[in-house]
Amino acid sequence: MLELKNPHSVLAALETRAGDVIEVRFGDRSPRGAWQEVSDLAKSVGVPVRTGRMGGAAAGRGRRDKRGDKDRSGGRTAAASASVRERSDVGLDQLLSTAGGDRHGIWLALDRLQDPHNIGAIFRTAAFFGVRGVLLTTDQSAPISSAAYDVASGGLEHVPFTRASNLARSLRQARDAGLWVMGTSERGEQELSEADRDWLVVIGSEERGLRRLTLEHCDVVCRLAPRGEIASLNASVAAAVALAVLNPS
Amino acid sequence: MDGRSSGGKSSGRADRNRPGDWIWGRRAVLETLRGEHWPIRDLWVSERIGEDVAEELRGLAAERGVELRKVDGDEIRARCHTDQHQGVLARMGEYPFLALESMLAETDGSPLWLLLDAVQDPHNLGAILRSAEILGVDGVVVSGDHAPINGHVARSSAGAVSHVRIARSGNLVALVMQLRRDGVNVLAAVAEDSRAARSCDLAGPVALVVGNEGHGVADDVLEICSGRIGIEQTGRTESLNAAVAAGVLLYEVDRQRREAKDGPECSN
Repeated sequence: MLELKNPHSVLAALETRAGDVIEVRFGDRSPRGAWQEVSDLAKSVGVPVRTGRMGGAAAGRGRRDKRGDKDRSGGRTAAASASVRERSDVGLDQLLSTAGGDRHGIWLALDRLQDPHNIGAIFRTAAFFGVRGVLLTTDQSAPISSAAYDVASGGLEHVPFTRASNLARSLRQARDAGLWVMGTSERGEQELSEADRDWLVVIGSEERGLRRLTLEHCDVVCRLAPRGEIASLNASVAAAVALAVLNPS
Repeated sequence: MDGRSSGGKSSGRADRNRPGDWIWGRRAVLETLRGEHWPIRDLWVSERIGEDVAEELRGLAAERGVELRKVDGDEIRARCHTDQHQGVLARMGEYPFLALESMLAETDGSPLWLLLDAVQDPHNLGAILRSAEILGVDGVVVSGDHAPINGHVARSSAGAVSHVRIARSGNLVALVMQLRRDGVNVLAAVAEDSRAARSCDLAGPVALVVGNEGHGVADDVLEICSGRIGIEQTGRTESLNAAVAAGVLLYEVDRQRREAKDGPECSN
């Protein structure tokens, strides 16, 4: 069960799958701003809204989730929260079903990302750019946690995703479906070019980048960072740069 | 604040317990020592750390006059509340901002300045500094009610905080006017009514203004900027995270400058 504290992530859940929102809770103060919208929408779709002092389980979870939750969602304190079921994966076939259409699309694959905040930030960006789907790994990867949903600020509700235990096999399947696989690495042999086909962009883990086996399944490996004393950009910034450059506008 | 948590200056204990004062992890601490800019007050090194890292730390600490303490890994853990310290912990002094005027004066050719208007999230600030370093920003100016540059920011910046030039401004409006007088194209990063970065000419002197996570660039600053720059949206969420937007825009500036220098690539 997710415990969401960013009103924008709750709003997106209410808009797209209200049946999965178990309840919305407000503390002592009456809801303001975006939380007011949450309250109104929840009531109109019949989701229970509770008010009063928050304690017990919710408060305990709040402490555990504290790392990043407050500051990553823009400095909000958790004056309110919502219990929401996790969103389900779609199958890989369905994720790739829009490949080969008249308009080129972009998909993302995240190879063992370690930081739920990066996952959330990438989903927020993916929604902004209309990414068709995100492929995530399951082993040695951060879970799609409540913090990820809150950082995504609704992005996790708008972009379909699927989790794969074997990324290499999924990449092969994506190629069979007509996607071109682009790795991103500071050792890449060429600069990013523009969108001229359906791309699946693979973002490597924060510490180790792309695995050798993943690289072997890439049609091309591009570099994002031309110079600098640090190996590479933050994973969520790297993903955003790739999407902005490839954006078929 | 109650007596237990504040303690006051006299004990020094509260001071040592502010998590933002500390940085940890081999890379972060080594980058800071190598950077020679941000003073380290104390350096704690686990007894179990590898000899090569220990030797480099000893050498750098001796050069910089920093006292190195050998401690138990648990002591480090107790201080930083994480297992990810890799046996290295440093207590940082106050971050030494550069003098604004001299930072702006030290430039040649087409400078790229990054002005941050009250960026409050330490993770965002760190990620922005990381992008700034990689994408060739000549200097960053923080202003308004911004996140302090501390251990949190250093970690998020992956060490860039020790390499990027950072100054502080108490008056962003005056700074924007000064830059414009000096012929700098000052562009506010704004989602609405902005021109797509790709269609802006960014090869000349540019200052990019990135605003607060909640309110964006302040109205009085926005009014006097030369223009507004944005990122073309093709999906449905309203906005990008501040650090992500800054990274994308800085990349575009850098891309145009490289292209201007090398000539356009065939693929474009």
